[in-house]
Amino acid sequence: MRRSSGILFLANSQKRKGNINLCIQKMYISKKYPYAKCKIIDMGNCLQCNLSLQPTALSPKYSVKVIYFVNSTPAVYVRELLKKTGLPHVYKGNKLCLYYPGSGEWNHRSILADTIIPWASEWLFYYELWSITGEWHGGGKHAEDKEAISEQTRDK
Amino acid sequence: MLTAKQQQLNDILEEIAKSLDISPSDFLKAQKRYDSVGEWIIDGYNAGDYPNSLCEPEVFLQGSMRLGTAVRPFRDGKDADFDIDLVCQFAEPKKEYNHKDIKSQTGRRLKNHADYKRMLAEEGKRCWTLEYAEDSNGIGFHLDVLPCVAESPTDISNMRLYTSAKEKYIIHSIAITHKDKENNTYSWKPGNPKGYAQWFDEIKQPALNLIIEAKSQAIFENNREFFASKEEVPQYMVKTPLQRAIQLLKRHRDMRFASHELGDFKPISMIITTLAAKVYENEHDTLSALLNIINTINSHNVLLENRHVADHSITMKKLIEKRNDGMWWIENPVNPQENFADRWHENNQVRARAFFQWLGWLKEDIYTFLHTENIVECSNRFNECFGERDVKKAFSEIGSKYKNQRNEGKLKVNSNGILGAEGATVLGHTFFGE
Repeated sequence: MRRSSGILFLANSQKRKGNINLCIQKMYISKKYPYAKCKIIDMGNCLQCNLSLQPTALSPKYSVKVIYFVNSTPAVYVRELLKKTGLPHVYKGNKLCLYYPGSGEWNHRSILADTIIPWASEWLFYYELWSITGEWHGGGKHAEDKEAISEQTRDK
Repeated sequence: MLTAKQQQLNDILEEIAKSLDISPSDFLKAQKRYDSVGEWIIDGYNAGDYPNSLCEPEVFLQGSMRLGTAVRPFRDGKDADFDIDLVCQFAEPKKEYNHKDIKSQTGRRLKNHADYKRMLAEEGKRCWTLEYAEDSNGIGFHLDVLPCVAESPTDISNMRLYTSAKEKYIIHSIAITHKDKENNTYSWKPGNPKGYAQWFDEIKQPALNLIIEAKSQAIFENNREFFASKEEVPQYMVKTPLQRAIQLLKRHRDMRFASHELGDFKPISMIITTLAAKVYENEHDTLSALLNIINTINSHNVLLENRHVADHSITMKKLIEKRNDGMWWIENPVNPQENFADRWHENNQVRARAFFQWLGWLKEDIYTFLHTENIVECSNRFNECFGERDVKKAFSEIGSKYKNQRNEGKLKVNSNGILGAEGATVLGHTFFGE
């Protein structure tokens, strides 16, 4: 079986300068979340992580999957919620929306273990509260807000 | 030390108790109304409305507002008004037949005020009740005025000589007027709300001392429109775990007995408050206080079958007794002659049975919460126990708290994803989406 995680492959697949190497992302995740199962696939272009997140001591453990292609943005899915409809703060396919695109909250130099994963836990926390109270208490913006904001900046 | 699950359940329960409580702004409104009525009653002396009084009457607060255990009552399946209990003690001696005069002069004085005349309900057995219209936030009040005089020196002497009542309490004993509506006759009944409040304060004082600084600060910060500084926050607003436990117990009782066949026999608040305070061992959190109260009192259910409570350390506390004549006894801690369970033997012990049935429900509910592994599924049970509106309010507050903590960089996450005070800091971000 060919090993696909050789450093050579990774060096070649980094198209953007200054990106954090997927191996390093994987290392940070394993360090902070020792129960996470991570692998680098697709010829070194993709980091896939499966881990269980439990937002509070009284919550169930959710099966969370992170898929991060090197030139794309990380995608986070929760297995137990894939078939649910009407969820707040998700993209199509129930991909969790965890930060404001273009704001710099997340960029390719961000460490996933310090950003996306804790934010996913937080998302689950507010998802639970939303299920109980009917409201989203985590703050945030919606697509209409983004359009309104970009219109404002255009008009200036 | 609480486990993580217990700590979280405690936080939820304390937040629910806070939602059930009277809000700081409503409390201040209640205080203003109490002060106005009190002033009007006191001024009645100078207006000559109390011909037999030696000086102005004394007005003081009693009941759950005084003890800090008020919860919005739930009657006939819906929210009812908050109660404000005002005691009006006249400077007149207790005589054989002046009970009717004491009661009437109070009613007359209230009717002399145009507004109060309009708000006055029909004369009650012990009180005159003023009904305030509901405010825009849907919160209503009624204010019960309880006329009384000091207990006679002879009766106090008897208490001193023949009972184990403590001196510091019995000196506050009062005689309350009681109207038999059927026969239109009056009699005297004993009471001691001041003594009881003093007893209760003594029990909660150690816990209060520990938390007063931090909690006053928090109340001040969340209510800046009402207070200029932390020092202005009245002590009454700072609630100890004992008070929070009592609030939850009372509300649980109201919800569980609503539309239940035993509803008419549900335990009275005086019993719940007294037993909780007698059992309280200075626990620093509401959950521990509740668990201790439930377990200690539940061990008395053997009395239903005329068996004995085995644990001597519990029977020593004299919580619930069944005496040789078959009478149940829950002694008033400041007046050993008064029995709060004086009707428990009636109707084949139906009130006793209702009480232990309630404890059984309570135990099952609390243990379900404690062992849940899915807080969302469990929320229905919280709603059944405490009411959907206040449970939702509590969870919303928790959500806001976490969001503020995250925005201040104080929210952390551990290696299992659990959010709280341990682990690495959660960085700021904005949820987005469709």
